Amino acid sequence: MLRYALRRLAISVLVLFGAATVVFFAMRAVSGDPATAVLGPDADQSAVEALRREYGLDASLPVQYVQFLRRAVTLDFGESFRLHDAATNLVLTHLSATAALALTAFAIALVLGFALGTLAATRPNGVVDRVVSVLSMLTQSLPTFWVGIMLILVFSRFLHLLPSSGAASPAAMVMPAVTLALPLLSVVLRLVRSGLLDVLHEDYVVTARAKGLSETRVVGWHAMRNMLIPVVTVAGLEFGSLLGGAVIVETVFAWPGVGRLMTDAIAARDYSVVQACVITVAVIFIVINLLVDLLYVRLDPRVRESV
Amino acid sequence: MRSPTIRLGALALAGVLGLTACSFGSDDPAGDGGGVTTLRVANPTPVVSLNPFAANSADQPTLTVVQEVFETLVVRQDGKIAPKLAESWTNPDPLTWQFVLRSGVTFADGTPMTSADVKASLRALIDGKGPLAGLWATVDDIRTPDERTLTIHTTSQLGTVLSNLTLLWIAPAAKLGDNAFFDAPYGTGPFKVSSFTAGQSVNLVRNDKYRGDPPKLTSISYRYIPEVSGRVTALANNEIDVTWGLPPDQLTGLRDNKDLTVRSFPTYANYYIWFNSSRKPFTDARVRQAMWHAVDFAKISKSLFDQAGTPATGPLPEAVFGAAGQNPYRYDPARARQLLTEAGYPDGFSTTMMWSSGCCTNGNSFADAMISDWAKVGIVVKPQELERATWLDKLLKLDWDSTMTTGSTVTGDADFTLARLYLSTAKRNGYANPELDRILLAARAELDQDKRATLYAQAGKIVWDQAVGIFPLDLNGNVVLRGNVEGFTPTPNDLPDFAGVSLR
Repeated sequence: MLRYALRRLAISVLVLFGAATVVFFAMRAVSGDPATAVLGPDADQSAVEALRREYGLDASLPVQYVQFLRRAVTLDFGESFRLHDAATNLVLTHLSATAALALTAFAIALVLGFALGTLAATRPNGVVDRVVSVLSMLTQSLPTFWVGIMLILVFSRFLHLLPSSGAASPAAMVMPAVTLALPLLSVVLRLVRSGLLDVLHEDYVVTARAKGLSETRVVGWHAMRNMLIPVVTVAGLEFGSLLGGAVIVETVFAWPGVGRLMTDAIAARDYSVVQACVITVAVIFIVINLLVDLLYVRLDPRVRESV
Repeated sequence: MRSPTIRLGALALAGVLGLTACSFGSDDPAGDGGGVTTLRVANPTPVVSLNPFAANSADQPTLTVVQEVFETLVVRQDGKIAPKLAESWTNPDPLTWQFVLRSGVTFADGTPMTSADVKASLRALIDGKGPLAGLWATVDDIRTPDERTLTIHTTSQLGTVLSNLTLLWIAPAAKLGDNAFFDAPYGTGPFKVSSFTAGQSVNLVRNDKYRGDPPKLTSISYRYIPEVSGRVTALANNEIDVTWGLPPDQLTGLRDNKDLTVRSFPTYANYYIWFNSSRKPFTDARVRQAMWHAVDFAKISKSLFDQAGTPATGPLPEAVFGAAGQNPYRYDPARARQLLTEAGYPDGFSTTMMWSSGCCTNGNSFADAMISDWAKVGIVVKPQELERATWLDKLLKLDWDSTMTTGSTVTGDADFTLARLYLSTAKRNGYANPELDRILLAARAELDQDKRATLYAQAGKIVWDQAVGIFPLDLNGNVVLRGNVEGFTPTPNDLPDFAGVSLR
């Protein structure tokens, strides 16, 4: 088990290093000089050069790269050209808003996904099942930005129930979180439904029923445990795509999160912030993957044996 | 067997809702209850800095906020310069400007404003090396003979001093070196900053030390809503009181909304399409003129811009000091073909036009319309929509054939646009004309403002007749307010000023 964990950790460090390298060179491969982007077309040439010096952009690429890696190890990504604050600070403050959004969306997707999936599976081809599967098809295929705008139209503009944007009140969280949750919700729902349907015909379920256990216990305990494995894997991996979806949702709802920070930073060629954002998201991804793997070991005795 | 599952679902739903409610703290700056004297503003572009002395000194969002906090020595009112923190000024000699400051002015922290603060502010702007620093390039000495007197000495005559001063904000000298000051700056203006989150929101509160009539608002909260639809909904929904910079197609619907007031007004901004005069075939003025004659701008602007603009009469918007009407180019494809033939392109040619995405009101449709008119005279123009940073990079390297953009004469003075962009030393569009250089430099050096205006009319004529670019449209600004917002007066600099506003 320890060796397994250590090997996973070593791979994670490599992945992180790769992500850092890619973002560093990708940002510099894109045309557009950060100093000019910040100062605009009318800045004095000497001011542009001074800014480039101040941020170490006048050094050669390899020197900048080594410098970047050395500082990144200490979580120092430098200062934002645009917002005049440490990139690490900016990411951390914006991350809390994104985390609140993503975790809420994740919870909505899991809870509703399990509830609806179970409902659908216990009465296959029933009314509930049909409605649920059509809805899940819809929610997965509709583009996030469209869903967001439609929710705004209905719940803000016409019904005046929820604020259309911002993060000023708890109510402001509802629409962005639901929008973000929908694609994942339909994935979880269908996995739960098909997983349950598969196992409900297994011998051990028949045995459980034959023992006279209540249906709740049969479905909620015996069947559920065995279809958890694929759901956990997929849900874990999909948490990463939630962070990706957050970029769009945050723009639609003017949610002050890390996704919006990152898109603005890319447009402004704000290297330090882009690097800090990408590496933070990479770390989150890696940690979640690790957790999923460990959870997997916990859930599946066969894997537990093999490691 | 269904009831337990349903119970499970209900429980889960309750859990989610509970989580939703707990996971984010309430922090509503506007507040719906109580005395409503906070103006809730949604800006269309983010305020990334409140420092008007450096990189963001000509940045519209920054200026929109700092104009409520700081004041200037003089202001431009109805096209004329009027005193503000300066009481009067003279020119003891053509190289020297002497200002007498108003007495009894204090900053929001109670300290008196003196000539030392003005000197330090001008120094900060020059040393900040931002986009406005170049306006002051010839300043070689700033003196403060006493607390109320300031002299600015220049190495050559500078006729733009008063215009330039409309963008010199006076901040306390003791604070100017302190970066943290600009997180919550204060000046002599009616408001001071209470909180600022770069790129997101700014909150202003009334400055109780303000010498003038206290503003009716107790506070102003600005927040950035990036999406147009988001701003429109927030406005219709009474989540914000005012926003601006909306595209014309949105305004049509809003004009019918009886809860809202739409104000449209002329600004210092205009649309223009530049040709790279250092690159063939645009080295030939006849080709550039042909491009202009080939497009039916009257028809296009009617269908695309409605009340968003008015046909331009010169290279500068009419509201700008020094703007003068020029001979209009009529829509005349036959004339365009004839000019092309004279220039040696009887069958037209292929070229490109770049712009930065989001640069311009209805930019993509406008580009499409022009491109289809050009095609009719044999000119194939390939559109290049670029990201702003990429566009900027190419623009400054003169690595382009033609480009579409909008620009603002921020100071309201012709020098800001004409001398900044069309002097041959500016190297902005490949056009070089010693005669134009001579006129522009003479206009800058002229202290008599009437004579300056005459010189700019001449310079404008060259830029227009030589078709350095096409100037189709002066842009109108728009501000949309909820019906209970009173006392708002638009200004042509398109920096909505809310100091005089009240809420009913």
